[in-house]
Amino acid sequence: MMTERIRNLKDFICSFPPEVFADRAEIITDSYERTEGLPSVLRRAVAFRDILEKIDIHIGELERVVGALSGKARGCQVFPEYDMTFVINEMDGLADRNTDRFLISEDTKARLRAIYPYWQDKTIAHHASLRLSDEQKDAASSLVYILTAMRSGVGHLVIDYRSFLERGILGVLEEVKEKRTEENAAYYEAVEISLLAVCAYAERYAELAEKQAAAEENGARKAELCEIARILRKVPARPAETFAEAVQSFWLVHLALHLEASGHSMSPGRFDQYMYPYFKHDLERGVPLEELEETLHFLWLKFFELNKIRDKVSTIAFGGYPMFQNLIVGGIDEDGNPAENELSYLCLAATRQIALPQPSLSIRWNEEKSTKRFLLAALDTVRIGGGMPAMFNDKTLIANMRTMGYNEKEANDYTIVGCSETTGNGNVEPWLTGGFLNVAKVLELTLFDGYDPVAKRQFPFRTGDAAAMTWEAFYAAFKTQLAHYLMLNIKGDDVLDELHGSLCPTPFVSAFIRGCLDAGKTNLEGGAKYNSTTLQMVAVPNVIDSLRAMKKFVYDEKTVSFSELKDALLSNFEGREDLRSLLKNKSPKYGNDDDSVDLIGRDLVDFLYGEVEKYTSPRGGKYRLALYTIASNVLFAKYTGATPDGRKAFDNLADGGVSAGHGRDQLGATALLNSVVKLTPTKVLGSSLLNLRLTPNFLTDENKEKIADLVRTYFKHGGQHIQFNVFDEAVLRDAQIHPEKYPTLMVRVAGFSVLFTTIERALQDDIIRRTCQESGGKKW
Amino acid sequence: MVNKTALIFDVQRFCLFDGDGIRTTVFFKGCPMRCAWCCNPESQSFSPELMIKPAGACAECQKCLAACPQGALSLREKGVSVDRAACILCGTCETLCPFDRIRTAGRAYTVDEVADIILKDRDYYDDSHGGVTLSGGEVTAQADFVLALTERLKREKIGVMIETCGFSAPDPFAEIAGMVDRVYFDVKLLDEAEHIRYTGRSNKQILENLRAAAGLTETVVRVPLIPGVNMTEAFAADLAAFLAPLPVAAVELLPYHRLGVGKYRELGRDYSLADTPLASREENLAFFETLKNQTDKPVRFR
Repeated sequence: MMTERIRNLKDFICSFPPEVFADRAEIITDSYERTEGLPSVLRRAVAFRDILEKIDIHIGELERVVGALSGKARGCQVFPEYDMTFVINEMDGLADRNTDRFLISEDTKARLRAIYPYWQDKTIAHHASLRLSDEQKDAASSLVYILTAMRSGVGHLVIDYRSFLERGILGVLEEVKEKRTEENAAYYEAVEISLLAVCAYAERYAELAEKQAAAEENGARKAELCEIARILRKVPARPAETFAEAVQSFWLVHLALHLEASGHSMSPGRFDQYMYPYFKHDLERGVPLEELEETLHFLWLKFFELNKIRDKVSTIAFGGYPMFQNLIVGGIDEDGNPAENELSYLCLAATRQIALPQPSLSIRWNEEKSTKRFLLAALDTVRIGGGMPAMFNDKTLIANMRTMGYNEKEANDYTIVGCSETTGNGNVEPWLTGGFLNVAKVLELTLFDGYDPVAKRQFPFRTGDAAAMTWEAFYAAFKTQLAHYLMLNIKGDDVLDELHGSLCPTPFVSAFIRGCLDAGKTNLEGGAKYNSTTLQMVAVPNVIDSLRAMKKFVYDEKTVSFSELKDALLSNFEGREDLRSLLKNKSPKYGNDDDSVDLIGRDLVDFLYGEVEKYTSPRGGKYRLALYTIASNVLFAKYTGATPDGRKAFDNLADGGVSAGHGRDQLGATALLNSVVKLTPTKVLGSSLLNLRLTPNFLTDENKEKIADLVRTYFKHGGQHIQFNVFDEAVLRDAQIHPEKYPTLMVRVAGFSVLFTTIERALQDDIIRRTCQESGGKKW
Repeated sequence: MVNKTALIFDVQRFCLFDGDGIRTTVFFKGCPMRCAWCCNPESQSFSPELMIKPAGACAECQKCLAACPQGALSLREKGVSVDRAACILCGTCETLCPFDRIRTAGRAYTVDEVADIILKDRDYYDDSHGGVTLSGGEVTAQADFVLALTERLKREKIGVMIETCGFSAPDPFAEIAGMVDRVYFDVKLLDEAEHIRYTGRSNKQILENLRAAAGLTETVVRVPLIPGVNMTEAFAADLAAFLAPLPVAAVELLPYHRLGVGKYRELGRDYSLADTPLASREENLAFFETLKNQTDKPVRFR
């Protein structure tokens, strides 16, 4: 049950937009000025300590779990070490841009302007721009790909929460002392400074709580504040014993991760596993379930409060203030025993009741070990329409973990980071931001021999005039282009990988990633036990459909000439609605269980897998293939001309990753799912993401069982992931016209949920236009 | 047997409303009855038919007019129009229309062709306790094929249900009903004269077949609630009385809707209930209550 107090706190934090503050940026500038010449890892540690000593803190009057990024609820900080230019250039428009609006005071702006000169030649973005080639930069500005680690921290991790909660930070410090070597003295010193800084940070909150307690007249609140202070004097420094202590300990460390670096997708991971002992301990000693549930709800609101500011272009691809804090429940434990417990169900209920987009809730489904009751409970949460939880398939993902080299226990204990990315639990730097490659753009470059008709730019890499080619030659030319841009993207990401390791290592995070304390270096320098990097392919379904239509009309039936097609694409089908409709309506489309098109997709996935796996990152980990979009498909669409699948220029590209193009899957959900599993989920080791849309009144009690069975069969067939868009189109249309009526209307994008009215129109339309799966498929 | 074909106008996968679990529904084309409210008018004729979207939906590119080998198409005020006497259903216009505005309802399928589509989802049936529903048109009107297909699916261990209007000679009807897991049996009216008036056929044999079905397999009665036709207390009472001695599993009520009206236009036909208003929720509920109070069978809306 959601208490009155939780409801009030929720209403409060939803009642105003988040605000940007300058204190972290000022403190780190001041710190960096004093540590010139020290090794990067020490500079980072000292800056982190300075930040935690001086940054504004606050405790809200309704809070019982405390800790926030700034002196105000929902506030966020600036991270000048990654990129300061976008902040300066865009800060005047932050309050009224289309999506992800932030308040920013004139005082804050002035303070940020004052430190800007210091950072101009020191940021990751600056150094990257010196090292990327013109071709790499042009390809990025044509949106052939996006390099995502340019302007913010890397993030995308699950730390070893279990071992930290059990030992406390001082316990981790013991390990640091044991493992310290002279050779890497700077690293160990940096870790020590960072760990102690977080203990001191907790002290600051304890003092603030005591100060508030002293001034508090309400006796109950006074006692509560004293209890908050007691807990914060114990954790995170020492082991947690109660659920409230574990939650507070977890939160303060999770929060600190977000002050060390600005990466998002710092994921709680298998929360129901490492928190369960504390939960069970409290239940056994008679703590009322309602109290434990309320503690959990306080934490849920904290997840929602976390925030970061992104540049305007990024807000198109990642709009709606998403923080991608993936929290996953269920599945099996590392020994293969069923893992779902009462806390798993409480997490599902918490998201159902609080109905806010964070944390990004997911479940693991294990056909042998999970119960149907669990899946039905998950669907009860899906039913509220927020798209959570996403569902992940143990069968395929454990096998994929083994393929990636994890041992059996580690594979069983896999978790999800960010949207849907398969990773080890607390033992890997998975670098899930290798980039998003716009495969539709690469097709366009092949059609026009390296010319980008949107940016009107000729690229140096050419594969010849496609007009003279056979189908085989054209398909080969496309693969050649694809291999080239994939290489270019990877080489660009390698530059960023080195820069983050050398300029912005993360000693604090690294203390909680297995391997780093043994290797004597941070996770960003290759210290983790495992390393990998994923590369995301976007708009693959549009490309499969385009290739199929070209094969049919241009090469097999020869009813459309190549030049006719090319002219029509260049003119965006101006006066050629007939040709556009022909391409769209009269050629088989991916998502309808038709091998003639699905197998082109399989061949393409095989090819991409082979190409991506050729590369190793500077940290020594392999690159991995992924098929998910976040909302990059919406961004890419704005830069991608008409495509041979009958899609008009700048119109939607396929969402999700392995979802069919909008409206192209016409034969019902089973046909779509059968198509999806043909894209070899065991080669898409990073993640393969599927959105499935249903209407709310479709998910009746009776149909809920059938949808559960649908998911089970799809997973038996090897599908990796499924998430549901459940909404009534009329409601979303109305919310576009009257946003003020729907302040907390939650929808699913791809791997994350957002409040509908906080995202931009193009993304809203993308969601609305997804194929709605109805009984019997679409009618003529 | 090997060459046996049936005229089928749709095979829909992922059907959730025609029986247990996830199902594929096969729509046989051709029906001996002509119910005035029929929402699938393309299911009635035993021949393939051309369906053309009306003006507005049609882009009027006239490609089809030029290509028709019979010169059977013309552009009228209401869009493209076909001279159905001249049309030989060659499919040229359908293939050519880039906008997907023309299609032929119904084509011959072999048992294997239908089974191939059905088998694509067999794991989904297994996990959800679903299967196949044979619907129409009228399934029993193509009894040989239905028996062959059902046998084939039984060998594959896929459950089969049928939906029927019940208008059939007793033999194939009983044989089919005896083979399937459940029969959804339509009951529209009990008064024979009224039945003839609204459906074109007597209901004598239909009601005999209903008695037979109920003795042979699980039988669910489905009643379309048509305002001005059967939404009366008298019909509810007669129905309850008729069903009383029969081991019928349930009665499902299907409120009247007009979702099929557009298809009459596409077939160049008039919809005879054009003036019939939709029943209100209260009216539907009233009939439901009346029936429920007089029968021991479970009654529900569908």
